[in-house]
Amino acid sequence: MDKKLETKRLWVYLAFAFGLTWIIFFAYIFSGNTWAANGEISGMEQFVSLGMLCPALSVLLARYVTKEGFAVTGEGSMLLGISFKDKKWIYFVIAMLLPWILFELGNGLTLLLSPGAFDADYPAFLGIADHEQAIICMQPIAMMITSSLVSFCAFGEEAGWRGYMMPKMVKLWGLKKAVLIGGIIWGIWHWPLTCIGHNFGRDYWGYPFTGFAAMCVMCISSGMILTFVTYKSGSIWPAAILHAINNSSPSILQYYINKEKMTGWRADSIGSFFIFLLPELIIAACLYARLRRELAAGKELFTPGQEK
Amino acid sequence: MAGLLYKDFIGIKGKRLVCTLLVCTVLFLIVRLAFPGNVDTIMMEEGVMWESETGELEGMTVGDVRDSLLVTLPLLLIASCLMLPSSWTAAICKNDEKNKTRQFTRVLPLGKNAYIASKYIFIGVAIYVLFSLETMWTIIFNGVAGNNASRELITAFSQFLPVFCGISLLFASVELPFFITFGVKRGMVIKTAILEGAVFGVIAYLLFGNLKVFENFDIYVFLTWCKENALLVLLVSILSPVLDIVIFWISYRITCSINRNREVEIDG
Repeated sequence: MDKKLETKRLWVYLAFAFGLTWIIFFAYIFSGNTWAANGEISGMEQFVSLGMLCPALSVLLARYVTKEGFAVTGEGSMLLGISFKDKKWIYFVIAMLLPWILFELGNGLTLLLSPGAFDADYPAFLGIADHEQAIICMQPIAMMITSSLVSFCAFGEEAGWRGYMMPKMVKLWGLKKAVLIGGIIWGIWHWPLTCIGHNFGRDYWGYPFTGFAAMCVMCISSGMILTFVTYKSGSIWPAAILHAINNSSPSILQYYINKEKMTGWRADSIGSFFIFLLPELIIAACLYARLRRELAAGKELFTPGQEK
Repeated sequence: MAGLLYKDFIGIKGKRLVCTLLVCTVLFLIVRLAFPGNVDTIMMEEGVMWESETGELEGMTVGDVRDSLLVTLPLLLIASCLMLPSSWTAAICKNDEKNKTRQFTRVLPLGKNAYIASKYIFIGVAIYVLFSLETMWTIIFNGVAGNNASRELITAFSQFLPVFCGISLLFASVELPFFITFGVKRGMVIKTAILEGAVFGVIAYLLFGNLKVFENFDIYVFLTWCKENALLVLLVSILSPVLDIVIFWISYRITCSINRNREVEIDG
């Protein structure tokens, strides 16, 4: 491996990924827009979310500029191939179910620490009529199916971060540094939106710096899970599906948590976020430990077998 | 497998097609940003679409006319995407027949069903890409649409995008077994016969069926129905693609089983 060339390719990719996406983000910010605090995504916010496609575009540009080629499968490829052999289908199932499990665990922990926040009448407050309560029960499954189908935005990010950046970082610096630095870089990429209220709103302690830090922590933990499924399946598709479903917040419990009834530090969006993130952090750490073990056992990361 | 897929991509003139679709998307993005929708004009909920009691158009601004024209673009794309995979199915099979590709694949170190699988995977991927493109266009349209009737219309249609995507899969599930098993020429005859049967069915319904359900049916009625039956719309949008994917897979298995004796086992 030519370390100098790989480092150059990584920097070229990062320059494109940050440059292209931040042009969109800053254009949105400087036109006076902010992110809705109520969690509802407006048409304009969806439009800005198309910026998620920029990392994929950056991969193509970086590969073109550095003459790396556009291999679809195999070593050094864009990891676009799909194989269900050798029980690899399991990672697609994990990708579909894990976000739901993590969301319910996170929300369950939130309710455990703030029991007063449970509000059985909250769905009515959210505008969900009594005869439509079944929608709440179906929401996670609906999100799983529709998000898997409309996963192209998440695919845009994963093609860049997991399909290009992580394999290069793992090769250059090893798994530990790659997961940490990769997560921080991915978190920083989100910062312009964090500034205008994405994920945490703007009414929290230490705004916006604690938000920046929280975003990086979340990106490190999510990055571990996404790296794990990408490595195990040899494809970026499970990561894209997992990311897409995760972005659509599949959860039943969330409809019964009235955040206005929370008190103390738990009422702060950063405080409640860390409570919510705790199950994900534990699961991410377990998956990371497993990856480390496999690496120690001599298995190479991001070298998917040739297609059958 | 990647080679077979690339061959099909070339067979439908994929590079030119991708460039055309990308250029169209960029143009649509520019046009939409240049002409954003009217903010807070007439909403569908108010029950009026610029039409007075005498049936004349009233209070329609230049912005409304522009929006009405622009709204047709994503709808046109959705309609085209419904038909495109069907034409590609015929094109890739016809291309293979012309170049005797199927005979050639028998000497390649590929799995027994690789040829048939490549056709299904190609059409599946093509439908996913088109579906993503349709979603992208609706997002671009709604991004700067403002709160008006055209935005409501596109939002309502976007709920049915998985259904439209499923219909394309369903068409492919019916077409591919015939094209692969009997060849494109005979497959087209069977497809035409099925379509003619469907058309005759529609004509028979128009002649003898209950048409009262379509009385006073317009876009406003459709949007109100969508709002009143949110649960049903959700159910349809979830179940329809799942059902269609299952049918697509069954169709693949059936095609493999029909063509069992025509394929050669190489690597198991």
